[in-house]
Amino acid sequence: MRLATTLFLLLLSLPAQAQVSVITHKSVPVTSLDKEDLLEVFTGEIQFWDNKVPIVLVDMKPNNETKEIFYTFLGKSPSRMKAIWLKRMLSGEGDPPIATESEEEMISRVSSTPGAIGFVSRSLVNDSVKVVAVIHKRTS
Amino acid sequence: MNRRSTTTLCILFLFLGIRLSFAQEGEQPLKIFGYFQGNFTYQLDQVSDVASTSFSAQQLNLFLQKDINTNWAALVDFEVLNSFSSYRRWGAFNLEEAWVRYRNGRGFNLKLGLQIPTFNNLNEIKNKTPILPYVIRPLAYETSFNEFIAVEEYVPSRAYVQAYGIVPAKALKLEYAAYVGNSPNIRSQPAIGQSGVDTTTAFLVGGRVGILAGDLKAGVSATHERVNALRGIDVLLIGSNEKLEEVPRIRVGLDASFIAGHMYFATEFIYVVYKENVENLDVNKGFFYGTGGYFLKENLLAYLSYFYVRENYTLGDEIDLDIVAPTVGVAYNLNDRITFKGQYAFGMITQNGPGDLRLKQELHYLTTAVSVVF
Repeated sequence: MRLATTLFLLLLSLPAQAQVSVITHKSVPVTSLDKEDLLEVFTGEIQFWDNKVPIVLVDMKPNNETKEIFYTFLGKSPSRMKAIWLKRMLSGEGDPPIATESEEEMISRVSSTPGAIGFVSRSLVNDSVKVVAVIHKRTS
Repeated sequence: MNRRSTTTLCILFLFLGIRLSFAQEGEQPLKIFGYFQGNFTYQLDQVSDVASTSFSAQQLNLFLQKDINTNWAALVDFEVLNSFSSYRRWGAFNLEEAWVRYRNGRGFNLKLGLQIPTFNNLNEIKNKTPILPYVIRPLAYETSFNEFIAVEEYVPSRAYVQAYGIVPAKALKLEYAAYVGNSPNIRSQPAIGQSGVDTTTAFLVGGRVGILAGDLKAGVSATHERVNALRGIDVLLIGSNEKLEEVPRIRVGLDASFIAGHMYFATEFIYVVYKENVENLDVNKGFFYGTGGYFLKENLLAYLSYFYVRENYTLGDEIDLDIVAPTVGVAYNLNDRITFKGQYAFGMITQNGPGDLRLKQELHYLTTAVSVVF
């Protein structure tokens, strides 16, 4: 009992690991995307999936931990990404992402929009979307 | 069913058929968006000690965009400048862009129609005020100072066919752009013919090649055209019977920019030379700017910038124009739509030459602006 309690307390003291899942609509013809792929998709450099379906970017309005982990992984701040999207929009080269108010809305939007890609906390992922990347971040 | 009802139904079915046929092509709704920038400027001429202040609606751009299908899109860009009023004869109203684009992946895009060609880093976005931290742009791109520097000599303003794209090359990406347009021998007097058309058979050809490596971007640009801009200088040449028609003008540009952490850096160089091939005549121009910035916060950029222009005219005697303008500014993004800007610039203009052509001016500019995207 004492050993179990000690182990339990030890586990509690370890740094928690936040995880973010990159999710897509079920019809998107990819099984995994690496960091470089995600950068090319989210900066609008690549605009179509391999099946010629347009990529629909979905972002989150509120600044939360999930969003911070995702953009830190990409190596670009949210404001830098906004500047990139604004430049593309004003040059007629692409649309800025759809902005959702919450992670629940993110899942709803991605699951119902062909070609959509977004990101949510891993704990919120369900069968309505496909996971193409998992991003880990240790927090203490 | 009477004849009128039958006719009405036929018209209705015809209308629905047309609507259905368009719907089957997968057209997207028309997108309307734009931006404007209003500013306030305080200007002081230090030599004459004359000051002035002015508010203005500096710029408004309205875009209409239609995504026709997955490969084709069209865009129209109307631009309104400097508190435009046809009644008061202020400012200008321009058709800035009107093009259709074919896209086949990132490697190949083809734009057809009136467009702003790619030259260095800033030319395509020089009028996109929400993207730029400046109120007073680097001088080769700043039309407000046309009395000192003719922007159209330094950068190409319009093209009509442009191919461009990005090609991955191992750890780098290669950017390319190639375009054709009118040479700038544009008729502006409707009384003697159709205005707005090139009066010669010459073309503007140009392009840019560059590399992308993360947040580093660098490239080389060039254009070639034949211009009548030197026409009239021949009368200043003693003993010369040369007529300066369709003189080749070549521009070469270099650009580099990167973002590293909180640091931002951008620089460009432009060299313009006329191949007039006339003894005792030589015209060439150069422009340089460098900007170093620091993101004090994610949405707050402070920067230092240095603009330099050098124009050299040799007409027997030599005439040099130097413009040096160090500047400092800030840009604050209040939110996704609104940006506040402030900038101070000190301009030193020196022209050396014979007699009355000598000129010296020192100008202070303090300007603030609000830029809004809608």
